[in-house]
Amino acid sequence: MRDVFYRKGFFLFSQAALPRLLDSVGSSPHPPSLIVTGATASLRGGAYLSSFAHACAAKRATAQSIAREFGPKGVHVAHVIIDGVIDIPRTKEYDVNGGVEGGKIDSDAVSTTINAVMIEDTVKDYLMRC
Amino acid sequence: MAAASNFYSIVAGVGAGTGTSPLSSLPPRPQLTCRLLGRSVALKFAKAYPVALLARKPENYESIVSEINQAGGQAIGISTDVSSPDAVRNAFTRIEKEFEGKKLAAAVYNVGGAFVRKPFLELSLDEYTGGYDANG
Repeated sequence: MRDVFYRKGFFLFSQAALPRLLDSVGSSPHPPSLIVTGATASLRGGAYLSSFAHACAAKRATAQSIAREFGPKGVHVAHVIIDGVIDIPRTKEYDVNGGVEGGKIDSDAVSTTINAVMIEDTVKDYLMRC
Repeated sequence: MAAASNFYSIVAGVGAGTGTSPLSSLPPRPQLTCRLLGRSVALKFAKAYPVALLARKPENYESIVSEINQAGGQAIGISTDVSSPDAVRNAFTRIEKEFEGKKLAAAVYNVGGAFVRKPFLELSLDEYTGGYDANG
């Protein structure tokens, strides 16, 4: 059973991580990074997914706000939307995109992308444009 | 894997994907795929930094911690419910103790939260807000 004192995970995690990431600005090899994973529901609420969708949307909005606050201070905040079903043994039976080859996402490709997002160094340029 | 570094990383939300779900009749389940993604990210980060893995249940991080440590990297796992303020505080205190003198280079939040796939009119208020506890 959920405890009545439960609070919001992303909020708590970010409040704990951000001061430590700020402390690494200037000394870490790449901009210190807070990376958040989202889902298709971060932007699009699918049928039967209202519980998941509103939570995903809130997480994305929070991440965007944090990015604008901490980007100028040197911390790279990114929200990565995993827009599909990841290809793993347990999703093998799922009929995704008509079962065509490449219809599911390779988890290694996602982690490679996340790694690339972490080491990219164009945070300030991006923030100036949006 | 080389983990000699003055920095460390944290991945919250990992899993070995061996659990069962009461929602198995309703694919796809983003929660499960999220957890496995956490594993993939953790293995990638472990090549550059020591990594702390946070998950609610030890069975979700144990195999990944072993895999990284056996490959010459450095990993610790901490049972953490990220929706609990005390649990998050304790986890970060423990991480700083384990990785003393190192600084945080990257923190990944990959927690799926309570995933409910249900017709809207059948959702209870608890189910509706449940996903938010971990995601929001």
